[in-house]
Amino acid sequence: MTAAAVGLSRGWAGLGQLSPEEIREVMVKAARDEVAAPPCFWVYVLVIMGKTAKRAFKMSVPRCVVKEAIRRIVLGVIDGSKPNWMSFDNVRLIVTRYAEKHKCEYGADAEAAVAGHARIIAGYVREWVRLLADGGAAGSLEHMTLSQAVLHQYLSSQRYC
Amino acid sequence: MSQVEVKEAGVGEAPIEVLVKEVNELLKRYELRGETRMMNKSAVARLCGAIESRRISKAKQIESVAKATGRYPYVVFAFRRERNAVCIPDGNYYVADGMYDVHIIDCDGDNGARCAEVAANVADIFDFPISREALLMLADEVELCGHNVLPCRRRGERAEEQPEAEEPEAPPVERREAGDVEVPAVVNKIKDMLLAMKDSMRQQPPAEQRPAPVAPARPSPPAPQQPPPAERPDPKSVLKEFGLGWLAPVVDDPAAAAALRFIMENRDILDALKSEEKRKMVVQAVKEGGVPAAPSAAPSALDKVLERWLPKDRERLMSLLAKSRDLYSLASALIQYLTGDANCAFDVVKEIMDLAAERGLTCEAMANAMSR
Repeated sequence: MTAAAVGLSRGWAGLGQLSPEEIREVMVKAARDEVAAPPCFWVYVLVIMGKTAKRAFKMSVPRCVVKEAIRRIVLGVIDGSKPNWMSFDNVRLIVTRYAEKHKCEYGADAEAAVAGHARIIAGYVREWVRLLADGGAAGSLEHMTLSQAVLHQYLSSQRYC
Repeated sequence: MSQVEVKEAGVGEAPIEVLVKEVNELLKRYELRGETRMMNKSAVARLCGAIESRRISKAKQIESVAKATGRYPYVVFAFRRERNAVCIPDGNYYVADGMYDVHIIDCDGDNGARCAEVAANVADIFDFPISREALLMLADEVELCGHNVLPCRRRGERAEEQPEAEEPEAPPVERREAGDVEVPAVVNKIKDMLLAMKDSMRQQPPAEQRPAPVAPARPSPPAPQQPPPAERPDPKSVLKEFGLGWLAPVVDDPAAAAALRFIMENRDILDALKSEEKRKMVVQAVKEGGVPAAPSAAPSALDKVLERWLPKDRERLMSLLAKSRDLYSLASALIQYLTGDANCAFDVVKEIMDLAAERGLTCEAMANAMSR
């Protein structure tokens, strides 16, 4: 753990120069690719969203950042070259797979936190499936399945911040 | 809105219900069945049961809202399964008199779990405490767990928690949120990342505080001096992460890095690799762990390094070399392998790019060279 992280773990004052507004700004800029963010950052966004962010950062994670995090995680898990359908019913599994792929610090507590947000995450994913399932041509809303290629193509063209 | 059916008309305590037709279409779009009715308080009470007194407000300000808008702006979602309904009101109060938009959603059949999911989401939005028992009226626990509405119980947990479930004062809200789970490690990690990102935004990153495993769109100019190893991302672990542990000596061992640098800087070898015949000779030399014979400037540093490599590592290098037209191709193959595209993304590639940049080659020039 770096000196900054040690300071941070002692409370808000340890964060020093980053105010809630600045944190929000960094997050939004990362979502806009104006500042490079490591892959695990998006997993951690989903972990801390909600009460944890309010308690630790005195701010809410912007909605667009959450949506962008989900977009990037889904994009990181699916294979755009494969047209076969993939189930998106279990969003927790998708986040876990992404976290494992990128060797993120994703213990049982983090997994439980994401599970607590699973409905919110699933809501965004369902929105995409509803939009793209196209009456069963590219997927099935009933079974929350969608063609990986179709979803990849769509999500690649989206930016939420 | 078209009011197509008035069930009972009246004032005061007489239940009033008016069907709002257009909403049916709206619900269908969300794959839900149901209807929307305008109801007064007694009709809502008949559908939803007793209303908590603490949620009843008699604020006079409501009157002015009603006068300004022509209606009371309160919405009730009623998720109905068989004869029961789980009701979620908008706002924190009911008024004594007034009409409510009551969205009655049909949760019969196999719609229960989805209904419960919608109900939980609506309750979230309205900040309304919805009890576990209420959700269980809509679907069973397994279905609710499958839809992420209730936390899933692990095996063996059921028996232990049974006595708790029988307690009359069970906590009404059981939906887990991140705030309920302590994640100090993740909080520290993301704070670290935020600080690093903020530093990179300031465009004056101190040499010892390079953003850790950040994936830049373009490689930044190389640091003129070698930063302290403790603060740098560990390229060896990055390589291992991508199944390229056998290449770790290239970036880990200073001698090997020097050898790589030598190859990059030595035009003779690069030129030699462009020739099919000479490339075979180099490959053969590498395979044997000896000095490449063809280039006149035989690199002794490379020779020393190769001697220390295990035969299997040399074979991997050989196979990569055999497939590569030149070292740029090798780097290109590496990038392709790591990232799926040649956009100079990962630190391990950046190591190679830094060496190239020291020679005055930009990322664009490298990319052009690689796309030959």
